[in-house]
Amino acid sequence: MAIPDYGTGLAVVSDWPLRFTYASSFQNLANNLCRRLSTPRGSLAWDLNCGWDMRALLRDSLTPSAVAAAQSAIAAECEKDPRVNAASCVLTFIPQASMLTATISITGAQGPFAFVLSVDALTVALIKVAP
Amino acid sequence: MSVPSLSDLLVSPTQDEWTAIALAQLQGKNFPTTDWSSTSPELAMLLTDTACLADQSQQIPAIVALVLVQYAAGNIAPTAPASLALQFVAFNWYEIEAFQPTATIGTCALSCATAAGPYTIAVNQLLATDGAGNIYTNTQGGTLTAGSGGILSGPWQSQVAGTAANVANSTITALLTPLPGVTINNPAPPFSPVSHTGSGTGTVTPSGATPAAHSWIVRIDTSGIAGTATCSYSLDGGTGWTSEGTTNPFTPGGSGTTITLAGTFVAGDRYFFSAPGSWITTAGTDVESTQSLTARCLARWPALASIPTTSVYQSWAYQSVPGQITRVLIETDPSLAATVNIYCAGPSAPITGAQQNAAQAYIDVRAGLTDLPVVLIAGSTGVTITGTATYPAGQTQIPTQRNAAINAYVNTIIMGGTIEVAIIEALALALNAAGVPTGAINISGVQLNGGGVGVDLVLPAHNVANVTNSISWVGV
Repeated sequence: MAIPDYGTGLAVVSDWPLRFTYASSFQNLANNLCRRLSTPRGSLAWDLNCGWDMRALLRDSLTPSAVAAAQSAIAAECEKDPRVNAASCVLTFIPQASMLTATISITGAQGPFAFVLSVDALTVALIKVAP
Repeated sequence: MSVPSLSDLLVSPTQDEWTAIALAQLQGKNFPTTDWSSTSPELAMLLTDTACLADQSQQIPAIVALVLVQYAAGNIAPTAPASLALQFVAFNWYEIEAFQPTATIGTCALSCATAAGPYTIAVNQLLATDGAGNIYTNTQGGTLTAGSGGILSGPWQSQVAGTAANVANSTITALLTPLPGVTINNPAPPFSPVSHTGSGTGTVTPSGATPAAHSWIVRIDTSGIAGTATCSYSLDGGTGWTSEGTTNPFTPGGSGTTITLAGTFVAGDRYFFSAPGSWITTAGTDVESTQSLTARCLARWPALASIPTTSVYQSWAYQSVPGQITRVLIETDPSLAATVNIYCAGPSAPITGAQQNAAQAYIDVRAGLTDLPVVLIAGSTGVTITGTATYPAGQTQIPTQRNAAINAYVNTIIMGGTIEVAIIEALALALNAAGVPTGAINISGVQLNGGGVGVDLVLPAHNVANVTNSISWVGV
């Protein structure tokens, strides 16, 4: 099976590494989507419609209806990436840690995969990418 | 053929254009630029760089303009203060420093009421105001005697430099440093000092307690001692003349002024004065205007030539009494060969006799032996502005600020120039970039010397305006 081509880019999600490396395939797309989901909408002058900051969920009262709406919004935000045909999201709140995990399933032209994000009030971390 | 402008020659790339250049360069070096999405860090870094490049590109014409006088002057009104860029060019390319603002100095009188005083006044002890934001301090001390009639006159100086402090006579009437029973005023003297052009040693002395307002010139028609020499006089700065013959002294009807000649006179000499005079002895000045500084820069090369041009005479006049001569009109004399008449005025009034003499001396040592430049004091024509303006009630600063702007405009008009009602209305309204008035809400019925609503006023030849702003401001 050929390696899915989701482009190549710097392997940067949030913090700048001491040394830059490249990511490709699912990892590159997951990195892109993770950055998209930690970008406040309107903050990129070159793409004002880009971004849906998941951290904002934890800065307000989180209700079941808000979680359901957020799942749809996150999936829709992922589908803005032209490499993504369809997306779905399952959010799980972990009250002991006041954090969310997001399991996001992606269907793209190069095949399906999923990735998991860990979200708290300050950070969105990519903790797993699984084809 | 039109001359290309700096913006025609220097095209500054936009951020998009810089981005296209950078992407092409990176693609040529096999960077995967087509893989970048909106959130790619590579794209963020690139767009940050190209935004900085585009911003720096905008500076290029401004930097180039720093070697070109007209561009350094900027696209602003000629009467506006010289920009920092123009001052930079003037100093570094022409070794000319822009005239810096100076304070107004004039004579005020302290009066002591009955049963008050005496007071010993120290230098800089007192502050006074015209009620419109200008503050003055006494630069001379003295003793104000007790009781009614005690008057101490002396020089006062504005605390802030600039033409705004060149206020009208009898407007500085409030003491900010209270002295019981003491009042202040800056009354007009009946006459200005008499200035003289020519070689005669005779003197002309006006007298009269309440003279009518005129811009006087006494012209000697035939040489001789007082009582033998014949003369003519003009009440309007030289437009109309009346022959007086040998009569001495003489009192033209309705003028309230008696003219006394003494000594020996030479035909052609002229004596200038105005009635009433002004409380101002040294007019306050703003930073040199764009027009003045530009003219002085551009005259540097012509000044090296052996044949002075109009611009050279103009430049010499500006430089002769820094900041005090701001309006200059050069004319060759229609009747006297090789004579160049240099009419001068200051920032808010004709120049004084002392300034005239200083300018004449400055120019005489520079002019050619066969040239006869004659510095003349511009005449002064009263201009009364009337009309009605409305402004938001409560914003009481608007009438003061807008009147100051209007007066400043009128005081920039050159001799014989045209005062435009449309500009006065625009200054009153002070529209912002969106076309919204920031000053008056509305202004109507503007007339100049009652010459009809909306009718511009052309000043008489060789005359500047002596403005009286009587616009009625109504808060609504």
